[in-house]
Amino acid sequence: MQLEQTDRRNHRFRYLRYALLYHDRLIFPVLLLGALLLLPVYFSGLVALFIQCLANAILSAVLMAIHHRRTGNNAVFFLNMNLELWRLQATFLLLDMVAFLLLSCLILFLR
Amino acid sequence: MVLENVTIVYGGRRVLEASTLRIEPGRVTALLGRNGTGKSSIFRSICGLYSDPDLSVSVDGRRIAKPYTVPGLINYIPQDAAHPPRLTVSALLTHYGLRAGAFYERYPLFPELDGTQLRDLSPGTERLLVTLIALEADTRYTVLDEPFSNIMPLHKDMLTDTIRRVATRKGVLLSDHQYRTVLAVADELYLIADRRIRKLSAVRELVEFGYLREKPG
Repeated sequence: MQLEQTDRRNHRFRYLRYALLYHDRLIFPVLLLGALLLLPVYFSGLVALFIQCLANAILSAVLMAIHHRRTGNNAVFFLNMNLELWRLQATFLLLDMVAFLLLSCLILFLR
Repeated sequence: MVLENVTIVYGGRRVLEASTLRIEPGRVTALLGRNGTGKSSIFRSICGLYSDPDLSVSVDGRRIAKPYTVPGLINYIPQDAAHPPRLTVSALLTHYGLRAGAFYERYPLFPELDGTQLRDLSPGTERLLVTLIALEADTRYTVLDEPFSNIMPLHKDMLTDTIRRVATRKGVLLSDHQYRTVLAVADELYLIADRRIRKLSAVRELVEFGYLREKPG
């Protein structure tokens, strides 16, 4: 007899939730990196924002690539959840960039 | 589910020529082969993780590019533990769509591990847990790469019973070097020999193709 099942396919914010789970070990390093990259924004203002955004995106992508290589086997769990890894990575990167831009706005406002 | 034209190349060397593998629902299909013959790559191909333009995976006659993206179609447990180590047992059950109470009732080994993270389980227990969960989950097919490795004999019996039971409602494909256990549980037998996947009709063919030295008693 089949065990009782729950429906796991229709969770809202599914990609967001799994992107955070997949990259859980990266959350703190990425936040720390973002905070360091905000220092030039604080001192130089809006002129430094674009290059710092770019630097944040590139460094986060590098960290994600390293993370993926080191935890490749864990990826199968996410595939079993019918998720595409590149979408998880894109979601995490997007989330990181949104957080970075929000903090930048806050810093520019305080400055 | 049919896998056609699978060709595996390692470092420029073809280890498997275009071959076909069929997984029937309601049957246990076993794939045997020596080390390095491409068993794990075949499993990855079935799930859609191996990119090859000539490869075709079809279900009910319909070609599917990435089977793993189709909800409820397939789940796969590779040779190594493959789950986030900080997930708890109960969270893992929830992710796979299983109710913890019903699972624990069927497998009394696990209720006491409910809040335990996977990284705190022994390799054998983790292996057994994720394999049982994949089997019990609501998918049409389950692919298991070396499900019996690291499993103690008592649990191996439980696992073979579970495979037989769930195979009445789904197709199971597995591979393992513990061939006696595999032969005991398999309905269909395939062997990779001479760079081809061959469907076997009798166990003695394992000897003829050089996988075993003598026919198992």
